Amino acid sequence: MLGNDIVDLTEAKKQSNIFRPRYFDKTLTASEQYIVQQSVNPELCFWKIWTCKEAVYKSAQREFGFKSFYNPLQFNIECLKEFQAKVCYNYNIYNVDIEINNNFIYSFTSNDFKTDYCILSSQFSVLQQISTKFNQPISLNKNENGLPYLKLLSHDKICSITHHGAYFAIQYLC
Amino acid sequence: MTKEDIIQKLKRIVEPYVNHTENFNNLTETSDFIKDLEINSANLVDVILDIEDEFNIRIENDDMEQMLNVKKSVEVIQQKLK
Repeated sequence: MLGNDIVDLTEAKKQSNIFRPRYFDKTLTASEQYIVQQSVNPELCFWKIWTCKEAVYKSAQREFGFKSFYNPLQFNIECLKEFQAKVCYNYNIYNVDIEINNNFIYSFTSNDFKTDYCILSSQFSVLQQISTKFNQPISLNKNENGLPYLKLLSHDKICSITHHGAYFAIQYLC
Repeated sequence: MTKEDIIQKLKRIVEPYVNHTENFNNLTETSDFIKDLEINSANLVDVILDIEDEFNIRIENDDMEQMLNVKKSVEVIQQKLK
């Protein structure tokens, strides 16, 4: 299902001290802690894993409709490559794609159906861009369970949204 | 420690991570850390760790799971302080 997450790396540096005692124990499994500690850039590696877990959380919430909960250890990285990851939640494996640059890390679930995404500086500019692409007005709404969707003239498209620091991103069904 | 004491301490703990000041100023037991106070999810770990330090308790991930609002957090803290 759809699920995405973005971390603004400059903002994350200001907002979080991931190296404070017990931070990793609450967020990473033993094998994930090992991956982070062995990495040449532990900070980047942490946020990479974090965004993958968050993206899969959103995807699974959309799929199963569960109530919000907070337990990063329920989402386990099975395999982490440069731009891809496999995450296990509740015996299911989710494939995640990762976009990384000097400014942000963006992770999103890959699906059998075609999806697209747009990352810009604000919700307004993202909606404007998607609106231009489909050549019609588009608004962002939430359904009765609080899950987002895009409202087009003729139909609705489910989507996943994420924003952090200077970035806003929407992943949507094509 | 009374429930009100715990809420007062909790308020001071979450304050630095809050992104929605108005909702923080009108904090109630049902205030949701992410939806209402707009605390980002990575900072929720800091809230939990700060609670552990402030109350000198340890919170396992199973307890942490439901600590998304003031009421649930107070319940977990009270349980741990027993």
